[in-house]
Amino acid sequence: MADLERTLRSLDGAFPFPPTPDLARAVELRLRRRATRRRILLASAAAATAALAATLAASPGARSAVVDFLDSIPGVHIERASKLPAVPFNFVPAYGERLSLEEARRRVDYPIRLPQGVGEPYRLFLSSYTVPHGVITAVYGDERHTRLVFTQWRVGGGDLFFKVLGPGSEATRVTVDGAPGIWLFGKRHAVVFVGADGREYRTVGALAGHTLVWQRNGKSYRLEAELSQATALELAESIH
Amino acid sequence: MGRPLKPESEWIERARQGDTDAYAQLVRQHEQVAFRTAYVILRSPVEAEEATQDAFLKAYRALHRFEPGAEFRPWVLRIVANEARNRRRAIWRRLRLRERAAAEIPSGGAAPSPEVELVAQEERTRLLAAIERLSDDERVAVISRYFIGLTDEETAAVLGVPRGTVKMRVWRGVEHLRQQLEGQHG
Repeated sequence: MADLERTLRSLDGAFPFPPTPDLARAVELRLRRRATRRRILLASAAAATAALAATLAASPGARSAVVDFLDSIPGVHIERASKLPAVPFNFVPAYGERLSLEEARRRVDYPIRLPQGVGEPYRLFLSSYTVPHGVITAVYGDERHTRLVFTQWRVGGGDLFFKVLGPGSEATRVTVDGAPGIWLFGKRHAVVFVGADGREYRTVGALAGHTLVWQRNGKSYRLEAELSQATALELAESIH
Repeated sequence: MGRPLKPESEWIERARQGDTDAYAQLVRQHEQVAFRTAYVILRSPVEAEEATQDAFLKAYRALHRFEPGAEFRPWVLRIVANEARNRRRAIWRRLRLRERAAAEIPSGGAAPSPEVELVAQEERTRLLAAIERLSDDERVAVISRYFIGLTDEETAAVLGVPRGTVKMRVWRGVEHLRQQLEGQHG
């Protein structure tokens, strides 16, 4: 008995436990995302209810269409509000690790698509924090002026962007080469997203609030630029 | 099993006020022992990871009930063990856990060992196999004591039984191991 106990003690650390996963990071991310969603929902819940009620009053059959439409792009959650939440202008993009296009293509397990006719992206980033397969963000422009931000990710993660539409900003359903999409336009809208470092970033209409989001072939895309709807759609359709 | 370098009470207090960074520090401090505890109960790394994550989230929501000045580790291990046991009950309802576990138990001894250690290696493999044949209560008690490094008090929290029962289960587990190993030699 004593020998066996001694043997057991000497085997300390020898039990074939599987490697411990990075639980702290996973738990922290889940807490942040939940807190972000809760804050946004709280900020907009009352107004969203009023807006939806008004919509329903005007068009009783529209309820499911409105809800389905706003939730139709995986990874993007949109709420309506009569007033934008008071968020500090904190546009410090945390798009992730900066890398070359060649390197990015090696690192993600999906084909990276870029818009045609707008030159090469000024910066390219990869974030593996928020969704399992990684988020690629291409920034066009220069140090002084960002002209276009193009983001793509594989469908399957949780919400990546939370958008709150205030008065004067609108959302309309569009199609991009037959694929479902949403065009957000008008006045500014608030964007809240979880950055590559797991922190929450908020901004109000980084680029005048004209944004196109769509889904095609198992991927979601987001294009934000100072463009008309027609030009944005044309640009989106150039992405194959 | 390192102990915190910074007073846990400070992290706990900050976490209570919604500081997720502080809570992540707490999780990091205890994630290995928590994961291993869940693994011993569930015997599946995937289930253990999910159970541990869920348990840490439940613990975060329950921080307001944590008694100031108390030890955090046994408190959170109790939540982890409860979560793992609940999950195991659900699995049992769906599947026969024994069959699942048998396929997932690592064979052990994967790393090559020098020739002089071959005998010891074989003994160790036999011992680990014998541990797997113990009853669940004895197996969890023995692994918690000798391989995870829990104190009797922490093992009692994990098992949800008094310390005296823990001592008895460890003693019986070791005795059953001895009988198994002697039977093999005989």
